[in-house]
Amino acid sequence: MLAMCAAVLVAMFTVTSAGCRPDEPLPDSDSTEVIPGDDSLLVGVWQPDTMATYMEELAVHQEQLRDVFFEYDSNELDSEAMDALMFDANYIMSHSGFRVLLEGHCDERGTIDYNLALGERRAQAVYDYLVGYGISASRLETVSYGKERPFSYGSDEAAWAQNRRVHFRVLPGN
Amino acid sequence: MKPGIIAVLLVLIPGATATDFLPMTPVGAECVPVSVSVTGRDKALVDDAEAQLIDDIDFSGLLETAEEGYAHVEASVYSDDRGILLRAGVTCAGEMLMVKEYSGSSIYPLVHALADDLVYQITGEQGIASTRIAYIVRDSGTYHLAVKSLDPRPPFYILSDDDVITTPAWSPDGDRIAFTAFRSDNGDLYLYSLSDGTASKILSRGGLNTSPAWSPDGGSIALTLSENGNSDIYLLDVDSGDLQRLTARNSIETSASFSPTGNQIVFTSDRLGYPQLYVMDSGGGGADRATFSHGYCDSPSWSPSGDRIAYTAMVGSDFHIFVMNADGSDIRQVTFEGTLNEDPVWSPTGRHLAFSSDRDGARAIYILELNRLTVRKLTEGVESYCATWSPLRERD
Repeated sequence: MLAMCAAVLVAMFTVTSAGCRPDEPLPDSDSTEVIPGDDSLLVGVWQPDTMATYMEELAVHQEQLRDVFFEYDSNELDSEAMDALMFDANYIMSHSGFRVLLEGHCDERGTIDYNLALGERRAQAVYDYLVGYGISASRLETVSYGKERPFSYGSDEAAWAQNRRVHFRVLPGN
Repeated sequence: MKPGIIAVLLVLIPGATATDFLPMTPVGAECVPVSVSVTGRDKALVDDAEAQLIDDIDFSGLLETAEEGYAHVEASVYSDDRGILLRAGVTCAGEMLMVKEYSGSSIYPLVHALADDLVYQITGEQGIASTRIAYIVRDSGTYHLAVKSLDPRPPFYILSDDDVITTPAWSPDGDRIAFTAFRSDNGDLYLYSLSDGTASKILSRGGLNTSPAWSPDGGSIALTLSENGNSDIYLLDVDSGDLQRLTARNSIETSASFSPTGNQIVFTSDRLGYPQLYVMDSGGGGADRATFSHGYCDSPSWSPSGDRIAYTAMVGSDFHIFVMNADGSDIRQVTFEGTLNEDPVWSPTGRHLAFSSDRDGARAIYILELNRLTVRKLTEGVESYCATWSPLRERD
C-alpha cells in the first residue's frame, strides 16, 4: 500500500514537474491560483469631518422650512397655507440629504382623542400635497401629536392659532 | 476522554474545588494525520513554507501532521523575479486528491491557501489559515488599528492616532471595520473601508458611540450610546443612518453581540447592580438573564453556529474566558493563566477563539483552538488588545 502510494506520488510529481527546471522561468498554468499578498491592505486615510458639516446643513434646512397653519377644526389648506406649502415643496425637491417628519398639531380645545385624529388629518393633507408635487414618499413621514405638544401655552386665539399647524421636522438620512 | 488530562487540568487551577467550574476539556476529536514534504532550491523559502504548513495544519483542529499520514502533501516552491510559485500534490490513502498551484508575492498566503484547501478536501470543512485578526495597539501614547495574519509577518497598521481608537468590529462581508475613535473629542463611530482605505465618521451622538456589533446580514450595527446620560444599546441602520433604541434602562447596557440568525442580541447589563449577560430580540423589548454563576460577566460573543456564547467572567480577582451553551448551560472555563483575559471573539468557523491576555506581561492577542485547547500568542512586543476576526477569505 505504501509502495503503491509512493509510486503514485513519484508518477504524479514527475508529470507535474515535467518540462520545468526550478531555475528556469516557469510557464503560466491556467490551473494556478493567484493569491494576493497582504499588501492588498490600504493604509487608512481619515476623512474630513463631514459629520459636523452635515449637522449644520440639517440645521439650515430646519431654519428654512415653514410650518403650515390651519383654521379651527379644519385640515384645509387655505391660500396662506398653500404659499408656505409650495415654498416647502420646492425647497425639499431642490435639496437632498434629509428627510422630513410632518407633525400634525392642534390647539387645546376639544378632546385628546379627537385632536389626535385631527392632527393626523392635517399631517396627511400636507403629505398628500408633497407627494403629489413629486417628492419621494420615502423622504416623508407623518405623526400626530394632537394637542399634546403645543408650541404656545396660552388660552387665547393668539396661542391657539400658533398650535394649529403642521410642523416640518428635518431628519437625517435620505 | 483520558482521565490523566482531566487530572492535570484540575491541578493547574489554583484552589480548585468541587464547586469551581469545570474546565473546558479538549474535545479530543480525532484529527486526520497528514504527512508533509516540501522541496525547492531556496532552502530558506522551503523552511519557511514547511514550518508554516505544519503550523496551519496543526492549528486547524481537524488535521494534524504525522510521519506517515492518511493524506500526504508533496509540495515544491519556486521563486523568480515574477514571484513565488507553490505547487502541491495531495494523495489520500493512495488516491490522488488534488494537484494545485498557487502563485503570489509572499510564501505565507500561498501556504495558508494550501492549508485551507487541504482542510476542505479532506474534511469538507472550511479552514481559517487565510483569515486575519484586527486589533488595537497602544504604543507610547499612540493608538493603531492593526491587522495581522496567522503567520510570522509583522502586523499592518491601518490607522494611527494620538487619541484613543478602540472596539473594532470586522463586517461580515469582510469589506469594512467599524470602530470608535476619540480624535474629535468624543467617542465617535467610524467605518474603515478595505476597498478604498477611507476612514469615515458615521455617527457622532453626544457621549459614547462604542462597541459596534454587525448584524449577520451586514445591514445594521448594534452599538452603545450614552447620549441620554446612561449607556444603552441602539441599532444603527448602516445605509439610512436611522437609529432605533433597543434598551431604555437606568442601568448600563452595553457590549452587544448578534446571534448568527440576526434574531437575538446578547449583551451586558448591570441592572442588578453587577454586570451579567442578557439575551433580547434584536428588535428590542424584554431581555432574559443568561448568566447566574459569576458575580461579573461581560463582553459576550455569540458563536457562528449559534450554539455557544463566549464571555469574560471574574474568578476570584482575575478575569477568565468562559464558553457556555447559548441557553446558559454547560459553562466551561477556557483560560487559566494571567489575571486579565477578556474580549473573546470566535473565528468564522467557530473552532477557535481570539482574546487578549496579560499572562506574559503587557496585554497581547492569543488564539485558541478548541479541539486540542492549543493556545498560541499572535502578537509580540507592543500592548495589543480588542481583537476582531475577519470572515473567511473569498477564493475564486
